[in-house]
Amino acid sequence: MPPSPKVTVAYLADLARLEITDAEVAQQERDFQDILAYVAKIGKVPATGQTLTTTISGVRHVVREDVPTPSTLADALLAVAPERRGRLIRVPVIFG
Amino acid sequence: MKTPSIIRDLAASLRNGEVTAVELLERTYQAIAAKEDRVNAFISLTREEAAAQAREIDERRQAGEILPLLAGIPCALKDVLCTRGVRTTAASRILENFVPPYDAEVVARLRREGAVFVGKTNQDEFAMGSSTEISSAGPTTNPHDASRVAGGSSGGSVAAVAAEMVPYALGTDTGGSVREPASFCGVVGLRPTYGRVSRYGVVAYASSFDQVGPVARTVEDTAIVYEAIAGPDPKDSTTLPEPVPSVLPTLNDGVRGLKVGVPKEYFTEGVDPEVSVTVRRAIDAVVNLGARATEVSLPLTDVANAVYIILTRAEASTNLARYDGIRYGRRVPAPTLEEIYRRSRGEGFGVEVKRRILLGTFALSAGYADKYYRKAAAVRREIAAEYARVFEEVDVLLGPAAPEVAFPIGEKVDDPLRMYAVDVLTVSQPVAGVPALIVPCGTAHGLPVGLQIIAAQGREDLCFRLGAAYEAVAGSQ
Repeated sequence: MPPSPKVTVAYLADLARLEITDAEVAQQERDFQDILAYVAKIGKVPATGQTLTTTISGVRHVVREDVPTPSTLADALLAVAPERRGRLIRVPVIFG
Repeated sequence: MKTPSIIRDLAASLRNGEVTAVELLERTYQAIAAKEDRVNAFISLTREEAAAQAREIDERRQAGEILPLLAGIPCALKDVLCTRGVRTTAASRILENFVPPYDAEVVARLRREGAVFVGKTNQDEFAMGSSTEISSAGPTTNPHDASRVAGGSSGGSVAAVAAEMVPYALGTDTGGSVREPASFCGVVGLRPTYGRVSRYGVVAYASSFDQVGPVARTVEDTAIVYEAIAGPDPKDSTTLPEPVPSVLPTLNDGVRGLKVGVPKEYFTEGVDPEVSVTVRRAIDAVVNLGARATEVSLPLTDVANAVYIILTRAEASTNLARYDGIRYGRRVPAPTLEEIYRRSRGEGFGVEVKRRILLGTFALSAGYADKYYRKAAAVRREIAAEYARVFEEVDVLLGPAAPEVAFPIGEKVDDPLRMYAVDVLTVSQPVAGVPALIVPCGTAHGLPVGLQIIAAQGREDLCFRLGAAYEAVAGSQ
């Protein structure tokens, strides 16, 4: 089953919040179709995923208790932000 | 028989005072200066930091301290590994000025061993490539032939070792990014079992595949570095919880009695016949040492690359969502938040990274996730089961690492499917989570070829044992 006509590179770029030039769209569209044709071979393998396998080692993600702890990294992490005001990361106005 | 180790020889020279860490570092930068114009292995050199590390090691040694084996020995780090206070770009414009505030766990572990970091090595952007041509720093060339690629994506780390700039380096391997360049450049490289080595502080590409791996010129050196970086890490909950058994005590045990499987799918018509002949000669040498070889079959080898492509692009599309121009990395100013995201990502990512984000977004999108992402994940399980079955019959698998030797620069860079086809023999192991070691095994068309030694999950010891036994006779072939 080929993807529906609405699944274009421009549509996917929009979903991925990725600016893409007109020149890029044509090339990416060709590559996308070629790659999709190549990976279609997985359809021939009789495998059904009852439970989704997200990792191969069997190790499960372990989440620690959600308890605030002091971090010495906060200022260092703030320092790598592209724009700051004081101890805040600066962004354009979201609510007008 | 003693296995060759450049690291042990250098450590001995440092301990008995024949050379100081500062002198060793000077020699390293001289070697880099002599060859870097041609090889382009590094994105940045860290002269000041390295000099301070070397001076500290010399002072501690002079004060009578007994230091670890790696103390004072120079090494290179792939630019996808975060280094505290040292620019880490992942060869991407979006991270061109990123200076991490912390070390990757593997970097922290080597730092504790006293390693001296000489620089950050070139790679394909975000480790997405097989040639180290897709880099904001330009291509790395093969030290054996400057008109050809070093392989990728860890091409800079591998070329730096092959050109004898450094005795060892760290790369990362998601679908062959340590092993394929190691094969192309004629050095030793390991992809560990998934979960053996912490991914904390490694710029993520595909999290259920990414592993850090050592590159060196001898099997023992690779084993030494592997032991220094492996083991559970509370900061990466996907690391395997059990302690890592040492691989060094069995390094000299030989291969007598080992059962070796030769997958027939690794010698199909898609593999250059000269590469096949070279690898089969190496397998004969292993048999002559007392191993028993049988042909085995891994029928899903042919679909592994499709599974790999779908799952890694899906994981990449979510992992790279973090680069939005807000918290770190490149920000392209724009009047709205949405436009900042789009423009920062549009200008910051290269064409291959965009290609992977687009396919991954598709594979996870409503209406297609079942057919692509979930189906690929289900086939992944079948591939892992296939490996598990074959490892009930044999101890290790032997084959080539790539279907060809290093190819000319520019030959495949505009043809993604041809570039992806180079990965065909190195993707099924990460799909299955098993370890694999590359050991140089001769040449084809005058260029290096690597023998790929694959073992069951957690059995790096068998990779190293067979690798060391083969290495000892390889020179006399």
